[in-house]
Amino acid sequence: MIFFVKRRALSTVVTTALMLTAVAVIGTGVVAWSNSNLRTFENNLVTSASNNTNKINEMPIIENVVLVPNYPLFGINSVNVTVTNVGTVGFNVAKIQISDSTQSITKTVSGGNVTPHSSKLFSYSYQWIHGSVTTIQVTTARGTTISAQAMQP
Amino acid sequence: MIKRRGISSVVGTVFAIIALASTVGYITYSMNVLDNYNQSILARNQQATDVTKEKFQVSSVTMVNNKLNITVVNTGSLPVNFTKIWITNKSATTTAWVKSYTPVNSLAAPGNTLTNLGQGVSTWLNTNYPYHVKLVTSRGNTNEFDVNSVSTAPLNIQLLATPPNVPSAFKTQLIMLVTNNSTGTVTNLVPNSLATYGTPTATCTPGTVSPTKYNTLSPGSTAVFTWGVTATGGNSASCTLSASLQNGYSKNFANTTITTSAISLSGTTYSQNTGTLTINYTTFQFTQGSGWIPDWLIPKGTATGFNMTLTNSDPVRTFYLSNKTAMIMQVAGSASTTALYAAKSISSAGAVTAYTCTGYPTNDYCVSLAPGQSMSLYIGANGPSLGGTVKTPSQVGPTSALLLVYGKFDTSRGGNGLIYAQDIPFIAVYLY
Repeated sequence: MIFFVKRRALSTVVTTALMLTAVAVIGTGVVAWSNSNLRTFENNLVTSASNNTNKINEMPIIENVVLVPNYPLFGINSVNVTVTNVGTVGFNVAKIQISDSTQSITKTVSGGNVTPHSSKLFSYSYQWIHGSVTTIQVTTARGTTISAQAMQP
Repeated sequence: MIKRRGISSVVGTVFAIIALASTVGYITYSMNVLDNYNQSILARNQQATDVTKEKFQVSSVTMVNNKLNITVVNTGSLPVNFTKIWITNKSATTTAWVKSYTPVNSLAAPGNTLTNLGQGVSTWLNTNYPYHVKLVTSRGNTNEFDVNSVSTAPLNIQLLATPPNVPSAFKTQLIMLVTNNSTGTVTNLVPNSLATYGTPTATCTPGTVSPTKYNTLSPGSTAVFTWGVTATGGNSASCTLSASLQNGYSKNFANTTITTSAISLSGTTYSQNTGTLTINYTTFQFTQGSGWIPDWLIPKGTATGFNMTLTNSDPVRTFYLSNKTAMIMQVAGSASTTALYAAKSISSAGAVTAYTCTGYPTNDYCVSLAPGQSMSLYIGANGPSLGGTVKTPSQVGPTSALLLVYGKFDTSRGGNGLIYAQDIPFIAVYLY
């Protein structure tokens, strides 16, 4: 006489355990990876949105340009540029370029922070030419560029 | 068979929920960021719109107590707040004289006028110096103009004579048109006195300019100044006048030429041009030995001398008076006439000095009268170049006195110039 006893095989338990472990490990990994990616995207989005929003909101103007003659003393002229913040967020003047038809200089600015509704004077030696148009280009740290022209007859 | 939910499905669901929640959270956050971004763009657009809506005009600029006194009209739909005034002394060439000030009480409501802007500036300004002024608003708009100086660039100046050809001694009108072709408002436009350009052959005498000043001239606008100019000269004589602006740009001026034409007067047409010689009726007076009397009531039958002012209205030629010049008196109702001839002079006591002189022609054309000039004409001699007196008619009543002037237009007394004769009527007297 033959008896068939129904028994759960050990291999099934092991297999299930292995499967659960694998699912847990892989799932955790995938979730962690996804979260990491999401965090990265989020950070990028935050940075980009913040920069662009601030760039949109920053409103620098070149309020006045003075071509200063100084030749009796040193033989070198200079340019005074007054930059005013008429917007609602502060900005940093990063670069000022002064040029005319024959020459061009670019000055990297340190300490060019201009708070809202305030002005800052930037002065640089520059041999401007009588009767020639001098172009002043101001670039902020966020990349906003404004320009103005002046001429001494 | 027993149906049981496998543990793997639970785990999968958990992960699915986590993934879904993360995705939803990210999308929500993205939407918020986009919303902020959108708000920023809207705000920036609003600011840009406000900048364009902000409009104002400088209506006048004067110097009061050596300080700027600027009047500004807010022509826009938004309040205007002036945050800075830049003042540059343009006469300082070897160094930069640039000052900036923050004005007080500098808010102008829409449609309102802001006055006394600049009076709070502490710096003393010289009223004779040219200054360049820049107004800056809180929105970054600027308005620049010059005080006591027309511009740093030449303006469009035209000078027109209407008409450009005039008879000698007539007046023409000069019109100076100044168009502000710059981008900034110019202030205090005052024309210089008209200057003679080149070598004129006619004499041009300008009158006063009207108006004397324009307080401001906005870009694209035109100022109009006018002068009356009297031009005197011969045929085709001309003068060129030059107009410019005080403190104007160097060599920024305009010229115009006025040409004169002489009034035609020949021996055959002189009768058509009467009126070249005139008398001033109000200067008519007589003497009968007791001083000059400006009256038309004259005693009859008495030796009388007359005096009046004779003017040569010819613009270019000198008139030489002949000794045959006389006045004919005739009493109403009488057929007889009395002639009284020109004398060199008659004293208030009635003494007649004969109209004589040396040289050629003998005792004639002794007195000359330059263009536009006047002289005292004495009438009362008893004949050409004689020194006797003449009595007034013996009748009484209204009497006409006709002055007959003889002479010639010439360059010298003895020349063969243009003979000329003219009667000057309607001297009325009454003999009693």
